[in-house]
Amino acid sequence: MTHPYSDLPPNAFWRSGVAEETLTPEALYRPKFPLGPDAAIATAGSCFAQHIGRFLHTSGLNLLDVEPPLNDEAPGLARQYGYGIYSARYGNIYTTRQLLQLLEDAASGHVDGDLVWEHQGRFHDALRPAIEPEGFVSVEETLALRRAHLAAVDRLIGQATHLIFTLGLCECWADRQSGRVYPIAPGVIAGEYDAYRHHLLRLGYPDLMDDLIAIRAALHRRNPGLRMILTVSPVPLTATATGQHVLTATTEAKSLLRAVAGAFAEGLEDVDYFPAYEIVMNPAAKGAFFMPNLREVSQEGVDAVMTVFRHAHGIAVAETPDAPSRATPAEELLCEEVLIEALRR
Amino acid sequence: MIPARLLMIGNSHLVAPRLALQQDPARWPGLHADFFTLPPSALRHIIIRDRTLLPQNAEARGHMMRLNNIPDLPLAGYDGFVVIGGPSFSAVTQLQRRHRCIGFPSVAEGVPCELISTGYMDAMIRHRIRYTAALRLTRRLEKLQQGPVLLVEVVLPSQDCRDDPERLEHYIDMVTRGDAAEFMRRYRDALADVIGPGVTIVRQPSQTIADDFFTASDWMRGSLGLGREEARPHRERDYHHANPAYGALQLDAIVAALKAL
Repeated sequence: MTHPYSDLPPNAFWRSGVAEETLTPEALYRPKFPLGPDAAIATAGSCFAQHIGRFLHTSGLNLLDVEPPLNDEAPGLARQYGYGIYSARYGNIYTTRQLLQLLEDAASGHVDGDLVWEHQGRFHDALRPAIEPEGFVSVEETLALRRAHLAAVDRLIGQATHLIFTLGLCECWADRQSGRVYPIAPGVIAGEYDAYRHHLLRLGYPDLMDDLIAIRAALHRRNPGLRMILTVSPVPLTATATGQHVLTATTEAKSLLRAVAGAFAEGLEDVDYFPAYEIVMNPAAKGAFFMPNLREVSQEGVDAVMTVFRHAHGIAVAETPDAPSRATPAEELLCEEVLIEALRR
Repeated sequence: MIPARLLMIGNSHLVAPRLALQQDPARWPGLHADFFTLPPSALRHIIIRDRTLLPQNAEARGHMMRLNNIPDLPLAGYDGFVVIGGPSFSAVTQLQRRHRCIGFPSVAEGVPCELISTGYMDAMIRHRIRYTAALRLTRRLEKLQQGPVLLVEVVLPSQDCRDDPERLEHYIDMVTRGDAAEFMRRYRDALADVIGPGVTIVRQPSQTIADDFFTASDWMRGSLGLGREEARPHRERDYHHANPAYGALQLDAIVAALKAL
């Protein structure tokens, strides 16, 4: 007697695919398209995307950087100023809405003079408030650097062959009048929270799907051949303002992001989904892929993710120092989101 | 008051004041100084341990023997220090070769550049200053709390370099664009910020400055090299070293600064 499951391979069954077997990269991810030697890769997304960028950089792939630091003599300092983290100096892009907004601004060159936050006499670009640790010296400088940034992002999209985007959050803060979304709530790094002006925006499945469709359209208007690789960050929410418990809010957010990323990629030849989220959350890891704070991903977890990616794309192993221990934290990430907790009363 | 035993320490820029003192010691009554020179690469590799200046590697050890004829230098007997040979304004201005920030006049005029923030530019200037061998040495000497510590500004490039723009293109371009005053203000603020109040900066004698950002050629031509080269003038296209006449003015400024403390 046959049935639809009778001839499926071992990786289609939980016991043989996960519980009793080490995950094999080949079984887990088969890329829709290659990252060949001609690939010019752009990265963006939430904090976890920094690991992907770092891996690509050390792997010798052509990772684009359209806003490089002044030189390479002070890389740590450059990172503090938002250089060398992503392909442009946009900081973390946590939501689909944030990416869509950036692409639209880059295409139009639109700079909103209203989106400058003041803090102790310095000024922050509300759409990337953490890239200047001490803030800009003036509103004029903030806006001039934003104009230059948008021009750089437009160049990036024009040059890239692939965009790897890591989806991180569904909830964000928005301006009621303009509809603009911020990467972090006003008042955390700079600016002032105004309950009449700012509101919590919860992106549901239709919103996320519409955003991804619009993102792809915006990318293709500038560069019709651009391909996307979507991932979902496994890093839980630092905090939620939804009124839910942070655990249920995290589960809801990640479930939405995972579902929409998969569904969006499924029907499109130029969009792929890479299962970074599943690799880290895999129960077979028995928690080893998280640090003791149960939020940060361990170096072991990052390595597991990147090993799958590397195998699938045939990327050579980069020379690395001694293998990290289980408890080794992955290299420090720059996450504005963490400030929410750090600055709580 | 001039310290009874002063140590002047630095790189090739130390040759000018050393020769000046040798040639005319009577000009500075009461000034008794020892001189300790190393090339910049070796100066970077000396440490202070138990109040003794020690080479950290074989190269630095070799230069110490060759140029100073000593394997180490006990510092306990000195009651004042003068560091000459860094940081160099003209070297730090390499930072603005392509990148500039909004306070630069050329940015306001729309001259093309890579625009960076004022904060990042200032942080990079501080970083460049902080990691010079001379600055690190200055801070270590200050920590000894063994008398005053002076840091002598490196002489500005010779005005002759303007006739040879290949050599200092970034510097000449900066002056031509009108950005030099802004960059110098930032540089001096950063230098003061990095060294703190415990070290006295000795500025370039004003009578030697030509067109605000160069040194008049008369104070540069005929500069002499370090070590075996000391008997020979620097090659014609060296625009960075001053001659003993300038060294004499440096010593005047050093003595004045010590007396003012």
